[in-house]
Amino acid sequence: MKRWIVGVAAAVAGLGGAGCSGVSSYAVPTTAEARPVTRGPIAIFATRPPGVGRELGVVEVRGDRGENNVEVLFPELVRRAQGLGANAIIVDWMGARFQLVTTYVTQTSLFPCGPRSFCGTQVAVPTTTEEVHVVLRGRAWLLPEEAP
Amino acid sequence: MTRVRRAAQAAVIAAAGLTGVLSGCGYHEVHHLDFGAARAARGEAEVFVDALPDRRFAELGLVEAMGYGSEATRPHVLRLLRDEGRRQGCDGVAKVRVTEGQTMTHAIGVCVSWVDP
Repeated sequence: MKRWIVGVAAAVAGLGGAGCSGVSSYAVPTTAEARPVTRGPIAIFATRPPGVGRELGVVEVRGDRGENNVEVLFPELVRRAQGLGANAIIVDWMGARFQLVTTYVTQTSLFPCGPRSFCGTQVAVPTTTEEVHVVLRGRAWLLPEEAP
Repeated sequence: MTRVRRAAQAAVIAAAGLTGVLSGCGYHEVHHLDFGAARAARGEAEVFVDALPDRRFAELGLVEAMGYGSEATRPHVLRLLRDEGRRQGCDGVAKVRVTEGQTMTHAIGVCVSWVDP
């Protein structure tokens, strides 16, 4: 019995951990060349591209549900770029997108409807909230080794 | 009965929303990310919306502001961004993008410092 409870708890925790992160990201290589993953510091160009180097791929990170700020998202963008073997990132676009989300909550009411009996009604109450997604998009970039 | 209850709920929600707006119910959050060494706070930071400064600069990091409710206005988040930029030692906040939703407004930009004094 105890083992069963532990198993269910672990499954629920696993599902929660897998499904409730507010950060999603992708990296798409745009060159056929496969490069090893890089580590350590990375050069960042947030206003304009450098005059040297070449593109390795496109990277994007998106966050919501409390994980929608640069402190959370930028490290993930760096990780994605380094996964393509980049030693630099060019930030092409950053901003927010909003969407209205309507969810329904079912409310059940009981009321007397005869001698010693109750009847129930169910009402689906719509609730509309606004959600914000912060998006950072850029290019994984390879600077020549001799470049500063 | 259901119709009456729905009307009552709608009235409660509307009243709560109206109360929030009238009482100036709003809040904000600011974030920053340093690309390198942090700098001491500066006197003032200029804000460049959808633009770059016309003088030489170095990128120091990113600054971000979000206003909710009564603080979800473009002037308010630009002020937040400028204040956060000043706290982070930026001479300017460049390439600022402001996005307005129904109940919140977001702004993000690049913290820069002038290369030439």
